[in-house]
Amino acid sequence: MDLFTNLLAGFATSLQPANLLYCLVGVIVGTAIGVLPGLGPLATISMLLPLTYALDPVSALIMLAGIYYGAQYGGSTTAILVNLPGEASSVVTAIDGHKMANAGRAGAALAIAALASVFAGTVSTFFVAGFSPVLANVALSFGPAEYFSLMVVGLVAAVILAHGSLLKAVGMVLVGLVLGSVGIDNNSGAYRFTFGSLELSTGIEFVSVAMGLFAFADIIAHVGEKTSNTPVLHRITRLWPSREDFRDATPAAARGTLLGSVLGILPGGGAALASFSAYTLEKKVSRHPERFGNGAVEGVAGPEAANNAAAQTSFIPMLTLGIPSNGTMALMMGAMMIHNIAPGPQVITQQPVLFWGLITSMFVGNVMLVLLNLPLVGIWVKLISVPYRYLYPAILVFCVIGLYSIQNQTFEIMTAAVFGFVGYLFMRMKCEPAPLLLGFILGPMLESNLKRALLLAKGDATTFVTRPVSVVLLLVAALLLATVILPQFRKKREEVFTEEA
Amino acid sequence: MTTRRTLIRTFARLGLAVLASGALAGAAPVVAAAAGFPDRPVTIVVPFPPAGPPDLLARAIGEHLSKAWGQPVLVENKPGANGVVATQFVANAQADGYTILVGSVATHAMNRALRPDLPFDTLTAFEPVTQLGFTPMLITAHPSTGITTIVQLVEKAKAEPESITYASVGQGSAAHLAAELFQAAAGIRLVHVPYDGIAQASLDLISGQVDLGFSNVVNMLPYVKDGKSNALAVTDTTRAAILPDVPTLAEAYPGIDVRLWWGIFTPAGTPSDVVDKLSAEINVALKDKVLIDKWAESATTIVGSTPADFKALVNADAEKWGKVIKDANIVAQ
Repeated sequence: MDLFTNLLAGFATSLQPANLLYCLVGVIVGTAIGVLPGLGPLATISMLLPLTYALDPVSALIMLAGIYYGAQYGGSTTAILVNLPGEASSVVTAIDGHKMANAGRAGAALAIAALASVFAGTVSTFFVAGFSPVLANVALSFGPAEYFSLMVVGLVAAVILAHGSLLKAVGMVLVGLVLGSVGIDNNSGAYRFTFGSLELSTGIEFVSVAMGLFAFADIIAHVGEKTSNTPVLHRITRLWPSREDFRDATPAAARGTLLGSVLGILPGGGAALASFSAYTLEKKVSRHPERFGNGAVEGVAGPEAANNAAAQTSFIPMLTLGIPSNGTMALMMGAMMIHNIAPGPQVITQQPVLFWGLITSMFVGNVMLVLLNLPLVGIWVKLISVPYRYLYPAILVFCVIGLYSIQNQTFEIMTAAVFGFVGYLFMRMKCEPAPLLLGFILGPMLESNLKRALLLAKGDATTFVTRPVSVVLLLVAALLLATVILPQFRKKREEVFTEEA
Repeated sequence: MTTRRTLIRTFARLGLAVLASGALAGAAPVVAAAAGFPDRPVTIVVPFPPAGPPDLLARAIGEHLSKAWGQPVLVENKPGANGVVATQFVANAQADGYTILVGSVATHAMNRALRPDLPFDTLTAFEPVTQLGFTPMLITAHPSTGITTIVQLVEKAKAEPESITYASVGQGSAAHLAAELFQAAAGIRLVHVPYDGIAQASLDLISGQVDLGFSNVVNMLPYVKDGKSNALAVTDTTRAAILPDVPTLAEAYPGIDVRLWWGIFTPAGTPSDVVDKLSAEINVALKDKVLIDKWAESATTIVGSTPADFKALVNADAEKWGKVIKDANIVAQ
């Protein structure tokens, strides 16, 4: 069995003491920021990007991945105990989870959430392991024309699955595309939008954009808010769920895992979309839908399984095609590029240690999370009481050091500051920055693949519609675009996101 | 009035004295500059990210220098703007030998003609110290093209002009310029397909999306050994020890060679005895057999030189690549 030899080799990497340590650091940091409502994985990963320069690429990615799925755990802890979802993906967990806590079953709710998550994490690890090489094999035959069409699909999907107004999402993607074109053009040598600045001639630093838009903007926004009152904590009496809880939760967790795994792969998908869809699904298939909202175990198990599964499967398009499906994956891609690893189908064959090490570390990390979370739940909850007036300055200082270290110059700090301010404006205007980041990353790739495909076809533009894979991808993009324009779908889409928010 | 005039005179005299002593003070270190050098840490600035050949070379000689001199030698990576940020930083640094730069054929012989926005002239802003080493490029073809030799390539390209595509790592890259040099020598026209990085380029080179590749030897070596890519020529005057069967480009076109070199530079105006001392000690480091053998595995020849020899190489290459860039009209607008 090829898969198992690969997995074994992967475990040989992920179980090395150093990698175990980075995995542990990742899941601890992830849980902590998951608990804190002000900080999300996007902001945290963008802050830690410069740190990974000094690390081995495998260790760096293992740590960053740990933060991402660790955050899904931490978010649910506070959702259940204090009705304060730390992450968007745990908003629905709060509905029934907090009701269970009110009824004195906080322990059971936490345990169900953790067990459903570890179940989903384990299953989706195998899902990623089995599915990625197949997809990567297909992608190996991709030429520039196919990549161009694939990126068109990615950008269209980024628009569709963005929260809020469609027009704003399109606008953000376009801004991202323009920002991505700053610098000396690789094809013609033309200087674009550099305004005579030497530093801009190689383009805007990705880390500066990400840190500014996510970390800095978040901090500005939270400083503007009134500090929330101290939340009421529920005491945890009995941790282990009852037999009935298990009976109800198991099928829900299985359904959530499946749904989450599929939604995670879709471009623009990810943990938040998955947990919301899983909750809706559970409510639909339940024989007692009236129990939902009053402490239904399925309402915790389904979404928790789904958000964890989706967090992991969203690595598939990034690792195999080099297409990030959401903002966090765009950051992970950035981390790979920092280490001169171009994401794409060649990663599996050229960097097997990295690929399989990362995948198996997800399983290791999930086990760590259960061991960490259930006994230490009290400590995590205490984190909420750390005042932001201490937390934010510390985070800012850390960010600035990281930015300086990228190229040993202050230009990156200034850039990030500008993007912090811009990001805050976007937030006030309810424009989501994630599509911008995707446009920023995909834009230059889109352009150079377009030019390359045309050069290789000797200027024949029909190359995009005569190559079979390319034309199918373009049709998919057209189909997606059509559904957005159809009024019924548009209404439904807006409903989904208002409910989620 | 008199008193005032005397005062002015006194001040003038004082001023002269100050100027004179300043000039003396300025001149004094030139005489004895190398005697105490170095009495504090030396920084080697690398205009590329860590782990590439120039970075590894800098660290190897840094280790030797700090042992030989008993002074810490720091290696600082300052990537950005294709090396211009670091190059400018060193050009503006104190010309005392404590801040030195690892330059390359790109930063010191190509950028000059490619980038009209350079805030300095690389030929006058630096003192060349010594070469560190060089590597040739490898010209490869996808097996599906049926091209196995340079002669076949040129025949095919002459029969059907602009029908053969080649991959480089970008407009104005060494690969692009090497290809232009070759095309001019052979009298052929190929289609240039710039890639954003070697990873993407090698993927398309192996899958046959693009016909030819101009790349560093190490990048294509494993595919050549697997038969997934045909090696046509190395762009050197002698064959590479790790690819003894692959002819040199000079065998077909005498006088045509492309060497991607790295070397040490100090800011212009560095006292010549300091430059000589740096050069001599680095040359000792480059004689290390282990170092030479290790780099030979990646087709890199470790070679040191005197400041004068290195200066001649830099000037010759700047002229050579300047002409290629001008003839092929690659200058950025």
